[in-house]
Amino acid sequence: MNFFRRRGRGAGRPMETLGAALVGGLVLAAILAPWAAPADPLRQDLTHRLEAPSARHWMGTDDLGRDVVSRILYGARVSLTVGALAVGLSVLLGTLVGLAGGYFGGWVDAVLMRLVDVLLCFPSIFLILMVIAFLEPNIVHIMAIIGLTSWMGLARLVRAETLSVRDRDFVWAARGLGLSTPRLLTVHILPHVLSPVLVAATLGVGGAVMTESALSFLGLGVQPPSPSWGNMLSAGKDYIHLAWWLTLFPGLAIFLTVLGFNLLGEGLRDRLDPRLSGQ
Amino acid sequence: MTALLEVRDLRVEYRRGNVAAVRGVSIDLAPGESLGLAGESGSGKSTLALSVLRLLAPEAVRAVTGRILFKGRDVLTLADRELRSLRGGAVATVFQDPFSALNPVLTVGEQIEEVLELHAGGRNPARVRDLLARVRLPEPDRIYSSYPHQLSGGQRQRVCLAMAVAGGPELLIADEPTTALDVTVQREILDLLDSLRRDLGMALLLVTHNIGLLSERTDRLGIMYAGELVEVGPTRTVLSDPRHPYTQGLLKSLPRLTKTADRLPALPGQPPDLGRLPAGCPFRPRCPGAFDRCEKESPVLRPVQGAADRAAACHLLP
Repeated sequence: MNFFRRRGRGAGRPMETLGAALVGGLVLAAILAPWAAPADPLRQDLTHRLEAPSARHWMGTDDLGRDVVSRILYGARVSLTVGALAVGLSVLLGTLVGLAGGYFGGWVDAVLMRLVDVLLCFPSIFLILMVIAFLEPNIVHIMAIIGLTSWMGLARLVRAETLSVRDRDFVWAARGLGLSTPRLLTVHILPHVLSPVLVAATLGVGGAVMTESALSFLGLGVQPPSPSWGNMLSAGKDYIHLAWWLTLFPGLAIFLTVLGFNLLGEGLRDRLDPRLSGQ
Repeated sequence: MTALLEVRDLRVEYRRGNVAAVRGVSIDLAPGESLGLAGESGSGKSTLALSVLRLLAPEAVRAVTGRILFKGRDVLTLADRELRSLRGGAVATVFQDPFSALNPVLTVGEQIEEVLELHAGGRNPARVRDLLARVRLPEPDRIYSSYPHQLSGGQRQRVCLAMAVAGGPELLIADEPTTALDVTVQREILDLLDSLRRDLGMALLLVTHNIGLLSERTDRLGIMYAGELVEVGPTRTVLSDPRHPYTQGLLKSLPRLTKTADRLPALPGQPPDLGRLPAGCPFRPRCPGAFDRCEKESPVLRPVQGAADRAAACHLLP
């Protein structure tokens, strides 16, 4: 809870500021896409195919003559939505499982943590491909799948934090005042677990954006013609010798987004983790 | 007068080291009465006090046997819901360390409101301010919206007391409430505890290892050694005329202002290892008057001759 007291020190953290600026820019781009995009991202113009970046098309046009800037801006909506909702689901699951395991201990903990161990044994891309084999690849399914395959690390984190808070005196004191278990968990334990969760969630968004891009690149994610950075990269790779802008700009967008969330996440961690604050 | 709290032959065994921290203790507490429990670290006094509300970590405890009757109902067999309404309601607890007994992320007001919500029919900021004033905290409005880290140790313990009395308890259990505080503040907190008890008509179970603080403050005093109650009686007579050799040793080792001594006489030996208690009387290895019988037979608590309100567990007594 030292977040506010240390606010003044943000000036000495250029990387965190950069991260926040990148994430802020991305959010702005996603929200403002309908107004900021110079063209309809789906409008084809076969007379202007594969045009190099120019004053009219800042990032050029693709093989169907669509404006790349507009597609990147709309792609930000896809990436951010998938990232936020997938991480939301993963935070929800991870927090519930971690709280339950850490607080109740015993066989509940044993069962939940073995489940986590088992799920962590599979490479997550394998889990995702397995699920996609049975489901139609659309944005809702992609979010659900990424969320369902990425909560395990968070569950371990929350469990460890819960274990350390569970037997603190104030929790026993609250128990001694007659609080019920759900209330102990939500009012007295959860707030102490939230700051590491916030950090892990921020870092997780970057990972989720990467996963979405990878799936879309493989043709298993967001389906054309809807623009997503992954499927733009995938379509652009066929023209890499002719039209470098088709791969460079989506790639750069993914890179800057993931970099932004990682820098922001690390900045938050340094602020919120009292063990690191001495540095 | 019927007893408010009756503990009968309570035995608490911990998993760690396979030891029994409380070994067959029985105590009675009448409504409005105060009982002090004193003894060295590891004598089982805190375990006894915390078991009254089943506030021991379940994974640490192997077995609890005996009976703990509060108003005739056995706490050890209460259902969770009944136990929760007892905790903070009719029986409240104050813990040893006020620095860690308050949730650091909630304001003081919020934490007291929580008790009112559970046991006094709902949130009531005016009542919280009354409670804060009642525990003699200045500026109740400021304290209400303060976080625990903004208060001193003594102030925090007052807040804990306000939380404890918020539910209108009939019994207050205080587990070494002054141990973590400055000496000057200890006395204030104990005086406050005493006046709250009188004003609200609560019974008090006060656990301490500082026997000197108990004089004048509790009606009766129990001395614990190695998980057993070795002597119990009216505080004044136990302190002025101790019968058990352990109590005598404890009192001799207290510094006195009226006497000058080069060295304080200390009790010889170490507190016993509960995992390896000697046969017979657990105090025998340190007892100046031990004789044959003490090795063979563990003494039981029995009335002291000529004083019906006192009891001690020692073979030396007639």
